[in-house]
Order: sequence, then structure tokens, then C-alpha cells
Amino acid sequence: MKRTVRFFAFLIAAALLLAGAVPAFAYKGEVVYDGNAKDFVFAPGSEYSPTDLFPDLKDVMPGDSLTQKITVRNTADKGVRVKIYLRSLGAQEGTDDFLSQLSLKVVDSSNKELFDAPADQTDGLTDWVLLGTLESGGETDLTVQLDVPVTIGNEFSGAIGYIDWEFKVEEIPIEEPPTGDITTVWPWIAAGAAVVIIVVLFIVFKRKK
Amino acid sequence: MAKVKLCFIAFLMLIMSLISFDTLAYYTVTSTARNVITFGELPSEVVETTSAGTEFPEEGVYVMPGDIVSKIVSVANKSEHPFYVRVKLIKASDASELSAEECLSITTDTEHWTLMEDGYYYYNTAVPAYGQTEPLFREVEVVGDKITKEQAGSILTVTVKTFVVQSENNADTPFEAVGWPTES
Repeated sequence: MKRTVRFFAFLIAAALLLAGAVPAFAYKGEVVYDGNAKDFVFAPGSEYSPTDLFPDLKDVMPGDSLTQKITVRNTADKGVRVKIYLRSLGAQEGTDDFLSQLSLKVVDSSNKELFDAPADQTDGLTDWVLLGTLESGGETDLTVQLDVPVTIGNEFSGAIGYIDWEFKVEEIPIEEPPTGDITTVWPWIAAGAAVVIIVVLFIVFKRKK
Repeated sequence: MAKVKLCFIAFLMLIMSLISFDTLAYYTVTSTARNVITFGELPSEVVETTSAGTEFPEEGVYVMPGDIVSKIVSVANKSEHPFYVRVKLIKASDASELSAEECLSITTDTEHWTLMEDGYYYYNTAVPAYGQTEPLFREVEVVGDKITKEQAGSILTVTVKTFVVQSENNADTPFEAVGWPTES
């Protein structure tokens, strides 16, 4: 009985430790390139937008400094390498007044700064920026930091801001490693056929002359 | 000879097209994510009950001079954030000859609330998310000797106006807090 009680006590202590290790209300945004569907899947979405990548940037208050992690992942089949790019299309019309009050920073997994400006701007994401070349199953992270000034006015209470980010993928077929066999024969067959045709034509023209 | 040249050019073009085979195999897709940032709100509610545990009637109650009316007033935090609250009590009468200030006597809780020089009652501590303050007052006394028979049917009102401000990223006490909403 004593042992059982101790065991449960240990379980409860472990559960409490685990609970403490997980930051409260921290949700990741996810950008997944689905190679089969040939499209992106954005998660988790929100009640405001099904493609929302900012679950942790809700209900912000003056003086808040919040961080949003976003993971970009390639789930295409093996043999498909992808280049993933990002650009910002800026704030949706009508929400720029609110967003211009907020300061936004975006850095990539190597801590390279991609964006550092008021949230309604496009700044360093005006043009396509390569986030990385990802093998099948590969991923890279983005970190978004939002700073809300203490001085922001009560007139923005309940305001909603929309920021559109466009992602682009380029699929690059990976060349198979050499195995001793020639597995890609069609280009060679085509080249050989072309040579034969040219030789035949040359002979035909020569005879006509 | 011209035909031979033509054949040679065709051959070169074929080779070039084979070289560019890999480049043409690139596949591109674009898609847009609409990201959303929302600014918080601090919804609050004035809770008015009676000593019987019932809600204070919205339409009010009939009173006689000398009555003591049970009206327990507190403020509830309906948001996910703690806030500071201050309250203004406004007494009024629909009869010009009847002074509500003199007719209505309210004893406020001075342990949890502090009346400051600006005329607001400040709750001394932050109200936690979804929490509630201690009552500001519990009853209203209708001062008998200030009301005459001629003033029967008059309406006396006590308006409770609340103002809240976030306590996070703000001062340690409500008395030093900044960002209080302005009175409209």
C-alpha cells in the first residue's frame, strides 16, 4: 500500500513537472508543403482565418511582447527536394491603422532578420525571400516577435489586423545516385536517334546531289 | 550544303532541349496564408444583487422615507486579463427641488475601496481574470427628513460607472496606473 501511494505521488509530481515545462498557451504555426496534393497546408488557423499562422498573437495588450514560432515543412515523397520562398503582401485594407501601431520582427532559423518594421509594412519581405531548400521530411523555423507599445490607445480595443503572407515552392527532382546501371536511358536513346536521322538525311541529300 | 547546315542546327537544338530537360521539370506552387492579430478587450460588468441573493430589479424599487434598500454592488472581470477598476457613483433625482445627494446615503467599503480626490472609488488591488471585486457598498439609505409628501412619486437613481485598465504591463497599484479610459 505504501509503495502504491509513493508511486502515485511520483506520478503526480512528474505530471506537475511536465506541465510546468510546457509554456502555457504556446501554439506553433505550421506551413506544410504536401507533395501529393501539390499545395500548402496552413495550420492551425483560427476563427478569423482558416490559414492563420499566428495563434499566439491574439488578444494582445499594451506593453505585450509576444513570440510566435512557425515551422515550414516539406512532406513531399522521397526524391523531391523543394525550395520554399516567402513574401509579404502587407496588411489587408482597413486594418493598417491598427497594425501600424505594432512592431513586428521575423527571423529565420539561422537568426537572419527578414523583417523589422511596423506590422502593416512589407519591409524585407516585399520580394520573394528563400527560406530554405528542404529535402523530403525537412523543415525550417521562423520566429515572429510582436511588440505592442504601452501607449497604444483605447480606440483600438477589439481591433483585428490581417497580414497576408504568400508562400511559393519550387520542386526540384533529385538525381538518383549512380548504381553502375544506366537507369535514365530515354535522353540517350533520343540523342542516338537524332544522330541516326541526321546521318540518314545527310546520305540522302548527298545522293540527290 | 544549306540543307546540311539546317540539319546541324536541328541537331544542336535537340541537344540543347535535352540539356534543359531537368530545368523544365521544376514545379512551382504559390499559396497565401492570412495571418491575424487581435487587440484585447477588458469586458466588465456591474453586478447588483440584494441580501436575499437575488438580482437587484432593473426597474428599481419603491421606497419610503427612512427605508434602507439592499443593493450589493460589485464589479466582475469578464476578460482573460487582470485589471484595475475605478468607479464613479452618480446620484440623481428627477425632481429639481429634491437633492439626490442629500436624500440618498451610501456607506462604502473603505477596506477594499479608496475614494480619491478625483472623485473615483479605486479598488485597491487588481481584479483577477474572471474574478470579482468585494462589494463597493451593500445598501442605500433613503434619508427620511429630506423628503416631503409633495415629492411622492419622484425618482431617485444611483448610477454606477466603471472604468477599467489592464494591470499587466502597468503600475503596481491602481492609484499609479496609466491608460484609464476617459469619461464619455
